[in-house]
Amino acid sequence: TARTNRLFHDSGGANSSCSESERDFQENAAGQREALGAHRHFVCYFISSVVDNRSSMQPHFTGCVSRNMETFVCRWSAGSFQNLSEPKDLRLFYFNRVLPGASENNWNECPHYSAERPDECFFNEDHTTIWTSYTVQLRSRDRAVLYDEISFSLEDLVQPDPPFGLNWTLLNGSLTGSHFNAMLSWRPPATADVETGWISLEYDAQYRQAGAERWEQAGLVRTTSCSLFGLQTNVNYEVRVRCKMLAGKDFGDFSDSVFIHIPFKVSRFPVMALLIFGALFLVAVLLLVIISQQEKLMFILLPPVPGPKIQGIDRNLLKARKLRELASILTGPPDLRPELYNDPWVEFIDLDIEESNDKLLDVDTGCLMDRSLSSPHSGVFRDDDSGRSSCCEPDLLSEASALPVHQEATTVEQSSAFVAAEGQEAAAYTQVGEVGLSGSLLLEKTTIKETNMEEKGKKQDGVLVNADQRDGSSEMKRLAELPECVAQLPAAPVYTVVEGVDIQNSLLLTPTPTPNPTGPKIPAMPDGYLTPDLLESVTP
Amino acid sequence: MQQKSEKKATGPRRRRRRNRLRTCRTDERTMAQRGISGGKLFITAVYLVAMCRAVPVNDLLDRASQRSDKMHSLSTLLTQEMDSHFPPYGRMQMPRPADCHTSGLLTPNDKEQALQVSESDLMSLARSLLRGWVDPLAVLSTNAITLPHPAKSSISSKIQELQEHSKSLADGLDILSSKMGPAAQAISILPYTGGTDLGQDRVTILNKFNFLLSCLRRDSHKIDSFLKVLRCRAAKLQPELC
Repeated sequence: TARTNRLFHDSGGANSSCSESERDFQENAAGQREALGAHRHFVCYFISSVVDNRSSMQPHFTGCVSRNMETFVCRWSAGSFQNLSEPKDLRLFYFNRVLPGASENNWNECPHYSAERPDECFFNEDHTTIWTSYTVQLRSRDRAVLYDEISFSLEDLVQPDPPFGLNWTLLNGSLTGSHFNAMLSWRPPATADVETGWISLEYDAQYRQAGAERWEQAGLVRTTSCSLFGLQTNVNYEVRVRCKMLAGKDFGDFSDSVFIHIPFKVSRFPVMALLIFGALFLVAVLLLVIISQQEKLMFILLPPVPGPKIQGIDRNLLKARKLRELASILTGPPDLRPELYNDPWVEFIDLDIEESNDKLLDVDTGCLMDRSLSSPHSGVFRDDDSGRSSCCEPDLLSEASALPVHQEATTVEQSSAFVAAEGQEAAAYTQVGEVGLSGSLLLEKTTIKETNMEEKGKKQDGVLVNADQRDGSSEMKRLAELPECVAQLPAAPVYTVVEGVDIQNSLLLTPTPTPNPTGPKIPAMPDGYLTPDLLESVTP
Repeated sequence: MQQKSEKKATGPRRRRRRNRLRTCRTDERTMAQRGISGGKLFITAVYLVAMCRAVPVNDLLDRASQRSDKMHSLSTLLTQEMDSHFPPYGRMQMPRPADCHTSGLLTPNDKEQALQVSESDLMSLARSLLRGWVDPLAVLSTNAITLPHPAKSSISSKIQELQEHSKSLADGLDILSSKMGPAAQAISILPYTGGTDLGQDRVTILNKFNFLLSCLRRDSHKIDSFLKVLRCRAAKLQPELC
């Protein structure tokens, strides 16, 4: 009852002494410097004795610790009472209901004062019970003075020994140039009986860089291993581990630190240098390629726009306005310019000029121009190939000219009659071989036998001689009876001059230049080409 | 669990196994329809697993031990929380062994005694303790809501969690004990006579509350230790568990 009354005693001093004793106990027993926060080191239940006169340096318990939940030790300190430093000056008495030989009035003394230290009492297995309440008192030698008293239960005192055998291994395949992972492993302390399940431990592994202040927690685990990830090579790491009972209050001591260090392996192959050199090499190769293939590249990238080009004519001539040279080039017969045949820019359109001429004659004999067809400005010949797919398709030509052929059947006979009157073997120049650019005609010699009506195409007669001829030849005179066409023809060229005879006995006719009644008088220019200054005078 | 893809039933033996699987699944379905909470689910799973005999006893003991771990952690946290805010009147004396309502149960006092107790007795002790704390936990729970303590909501929630854990653990141990023989089935009744009312004034209420929590912590540690010893004894083939 005396004790229960003291429950409600204002024990402010007792609080401080309890916390002080806790601090001392922390420093002595565990060597820990970390603040435990709200956690108590051990349950501090005690009854405040006559505290008012008690100073904080009175002999008191510094704490009790159990390493394995089978034994425990209690420690005290003499405080400022230095005259009590002798062993046995301070005695410990304990009471436990379960232990034999105990009674309320007769407390047992410490079963074993430890030999190493004068202020420690060791309770071995025989004197240790669990799940029972101990009350220990610190008394003077003569048991008269009670200095301190605490109560506890064994399971609250457990602070296991540090784990041993802390070791680290490199995790497979985790070592890159700059980082690696490690696996820590340890063994439970030898004093803790983990195999039978009597004590279950929880481990706290910590690591830090050598020289750092704060410890990082690697993990709070129940297994005896733990992994560290993302450690840097070439850095010294320090690891340590401690353990506590599962759901226990306090951790035990830390183990000795183990150092981890993996040197940074400088790769013999400097990757960066290789990359830079490779890039430079590529750039050099590219430059070489560009420079060597400059023209081709320029051609591909910037294809030249074909300028105005006339085959055989130097543009400089045009610029220099050397028109005489130009004219000589331009007016030359095309067959004297063989280079044209090899020029890809020049396209030759084959004209079946005999056909068109025959058709013309069949429609209206002697007519050079076909009124029903193309415009007056189209020239002497009719280009049936323009607009069609190929000139090598004679069917197109034959289809177009199918109808007129039948009409021309009769006229052909008439025309042939003219020629036949001269003689059976007379040569008839009925075929126009070619029409020159300046209007000159090349009449080709044909024999009478070729005038077969059934054969179309090339076997048609055609004479296209202007009625207005001055040269006297019998054939020409005969053919002069075609005056009616002339009046209809607007400005048809007059062929009066035979320039020459070809190798194949073809006549080369050149037209006489007709005066142009309309329009202003233009001074004689080479073949009618206007120079730009003349053009100004021409235009109104 | 065994795969259902054992369709190559070549003999009657295999067919029987398949029938058993089917029974287990129908049980599963009926239980699922009742809508069970987490704790119930654990127990149901344990029950079914025990029925289907697919999970060995070691695993069951492992799970029970984990649950008792949790219980003990919770009770430790509770006492710490109580102490942190305890009014500075003075500290209550350590409960004397006679004061806890479960002190009538004879439990081993040290390691040698504990290691000598048979498995059935250990199981019986654990179950008795669990059964004995059902009523006091209810009392604590009802009083925690009106506790004159700044952290009463946290304390109240922890006590409720404790109740759930205790219930599920008790059910699990019931299943386990059914495999261990009649000695394990015996339970000692530990009646709680403290009444539903903890006291009138603040100090009394707090002191009684604290006292009960200390007793609870001690008993949860007992249960935990017994189950761990059981587990390590049963796991002789798997020493990595212990």
